Amino acid sequence: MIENSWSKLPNPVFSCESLVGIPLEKAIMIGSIARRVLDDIRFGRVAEIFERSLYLDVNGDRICLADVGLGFGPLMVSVECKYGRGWMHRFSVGKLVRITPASITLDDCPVISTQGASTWLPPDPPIWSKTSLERSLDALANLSEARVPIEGLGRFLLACHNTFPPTAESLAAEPAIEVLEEWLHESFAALIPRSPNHESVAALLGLGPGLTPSGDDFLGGMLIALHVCGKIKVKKQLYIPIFPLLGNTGSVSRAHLQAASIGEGSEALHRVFYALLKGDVVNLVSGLDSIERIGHTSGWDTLAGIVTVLRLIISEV
Amino acid sequence: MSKIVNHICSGLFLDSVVLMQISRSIKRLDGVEDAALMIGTPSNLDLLENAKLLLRDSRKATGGDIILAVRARDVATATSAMAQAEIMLDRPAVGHTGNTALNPRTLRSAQDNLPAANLALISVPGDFAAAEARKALFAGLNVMLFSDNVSIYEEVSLKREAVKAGLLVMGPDCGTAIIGGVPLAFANQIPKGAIGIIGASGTGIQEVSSLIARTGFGVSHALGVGGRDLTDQVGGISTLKALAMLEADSATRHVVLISKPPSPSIVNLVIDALGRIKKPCTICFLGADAPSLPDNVRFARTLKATAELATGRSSKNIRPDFRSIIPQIPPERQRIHGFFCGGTLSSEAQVVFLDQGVSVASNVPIPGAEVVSSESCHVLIDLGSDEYTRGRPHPMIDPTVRDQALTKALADPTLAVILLDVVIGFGAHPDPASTIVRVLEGAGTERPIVIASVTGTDDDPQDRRAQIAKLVNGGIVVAPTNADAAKLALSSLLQHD
Repeated sequence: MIENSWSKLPNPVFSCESLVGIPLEKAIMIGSIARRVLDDIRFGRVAEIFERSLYLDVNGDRICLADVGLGFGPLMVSVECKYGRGWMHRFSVGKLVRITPASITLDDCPVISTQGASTWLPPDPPIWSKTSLERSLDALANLSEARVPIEGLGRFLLACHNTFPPTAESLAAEPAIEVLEEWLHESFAALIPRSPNHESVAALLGLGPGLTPSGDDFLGGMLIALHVCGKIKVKKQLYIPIFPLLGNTGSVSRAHLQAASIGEGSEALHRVFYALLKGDVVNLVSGLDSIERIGHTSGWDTLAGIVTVLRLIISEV
Repeated sequence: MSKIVNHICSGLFLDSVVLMQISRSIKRLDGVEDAALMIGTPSNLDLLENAKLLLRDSRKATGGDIILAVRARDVATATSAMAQAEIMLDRPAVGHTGNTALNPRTLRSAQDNLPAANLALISVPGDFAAAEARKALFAGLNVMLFSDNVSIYEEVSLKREAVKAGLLVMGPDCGTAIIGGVPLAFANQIPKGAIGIIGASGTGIQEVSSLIARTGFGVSHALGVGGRDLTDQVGGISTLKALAMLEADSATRHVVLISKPPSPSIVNLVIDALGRIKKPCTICFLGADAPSLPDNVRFARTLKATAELATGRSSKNIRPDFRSIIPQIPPERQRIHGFFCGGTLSSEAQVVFLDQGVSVASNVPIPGAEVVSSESCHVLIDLGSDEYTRGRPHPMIDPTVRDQALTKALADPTLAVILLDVVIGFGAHPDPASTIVRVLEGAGTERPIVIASVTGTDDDPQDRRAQIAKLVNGGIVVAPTNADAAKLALSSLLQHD
């Protein structure tokens, strides 16, 4: 211990200190869906807590409070963890959370300041052409063949996915994906698209390992790709059989699927997706590293859904 | 016949990566035929059923549940695998050793166990260091930040927050401190006394505090402030705070400040602050010229001179009959190479060379010295600098990098003298002298003279006297101080005159 005068020093006072003397962390970015929820609703409950993030159930919607290191996304309140992740330890499942215009509050004590946080929205899609897309899909096949995990549905982003050893989920998913590919082909050609076979959607929903099952991620990727590429009617038709089945899957996955239905995924996903559209191979290479960091297979599963749509869009252009 | 066991976990939240890792670990267990850990959606229940992993009762699982399913060769194996999986799912229970010694895992629990503590020593990877330091500051603790790779932005921010709170941040990359007689990190066993040291340099503090101890004096506190504190960006925040603390400390009667040359604006700031305190001060800005000083402040060119001014006593001088202890040097040997574990010791040696009018080069040159090139004659290398320590231990801990350089230098027919520092104390290599002697044993008889000094005290774990004895027995000339070693190396070249 430091001796003499050092042992009787005043307690620290921080400029960002909350009223009861607990460090107040700051949200620096709030996703579009999370922003809407925070603006409209005053109370929520802690629903799930993970290592670097936690989800709040806000009137049936989910928003995610997360370490800024996890990146931005539509459901995310990205918290700059200036004091480490100690703020997370103050939350427990079931605890009531009050949402004020300036903060997220526990037991009348602000924990996260939301004042001044920017709103994250997916950027506008780039201008793209058949040539740019073909070039990047070729590059993606080369870049990802050795990186796609055996587990999950990432293999379906490759035309030659049969070279992978089969897994229970890939065997279960393959017929459903084939049906959906056929449906996409027909829908792009039709003036008024119809809904896909409900059984194939049901087979994928909630299928596979992970907190967000691979099948959900794959369907989410399809929804985002259809939305961004302007195939809104086709997207709506795909969502028709998904919507009534959302209760079958986990709550976190459900929230991400709902975001996908309006064309919104994580920042990392949009970065890779847009690099694909533009034929920007340099950003594609760096983007795949961040795809790899999304869940165990979630990034790859979602990308596979996107690429499934893009392959068929090319054939229609 | 195979046995299937299922367990439905409600309200269990684990990241996908963790779920996958546990699932793989269970699959690898002896006697386990298949296993899965997934959320209980209808699709996954079908999947488990097809894989012969699902019991009929488990159909009740929902998307909000996680289902753990194991199929094994017999009941005992399946049950055991399930038990192991449950332990993995509840990881916090794993690894409890039953050890009753104080081993807090968090700052908060450390404080609970030691509520009177007022200092936290933080040594975590740089990415996490600032957050831990903030927690400590918030808890009212002074901070010694041993971690490096903390951005200058974070450093400034932390130091400002600390000052607002009346606290001190030592560091980042603060490797040496002595608080109330207790050595922290790389420090020496120094008696308690009346001299307070502030240093932006670890081995500088070690050399000065050891020299103070050797002349019979002691140190009240030695406070490292981090190598960047006296730059324009940081603005000497911690130096000024440490100065205020030492002024307020009744045990401190003389203040010593050691640093590389600060930027000119910071020099004025610091000297103004020194002039305002009511205690005598000694400053050593290694390599800088003496600035104009207030009456209570004196300037020293070397670490040795710093200790002498602070104590008012001279260290032992080099024996004037050095020619009798320095062997004859052949005329073709004209160059001096120095290999230093301590960056400040390398700087001090450069000061000695320049003060004698001798050009010198270094990988970390002080003002007036040159950057090492193929044409450099006398070269003094700081082996603790980043290019030598990236991805490997500091040479004070593991002298391998110096052993390699030394081996090469011993075979160089143009070298007259090899200059070394031997830094001992807490945290340092347990027997650095022996490693040097072993390298010398591998060299032939026709080799450069090796001159060394030992930074540390007789009370250090390595015992300075024992280290000197080993060096001398190994054929190494040992000077009383680092500055003396440099002077002796230069003097040995005079044999040619």
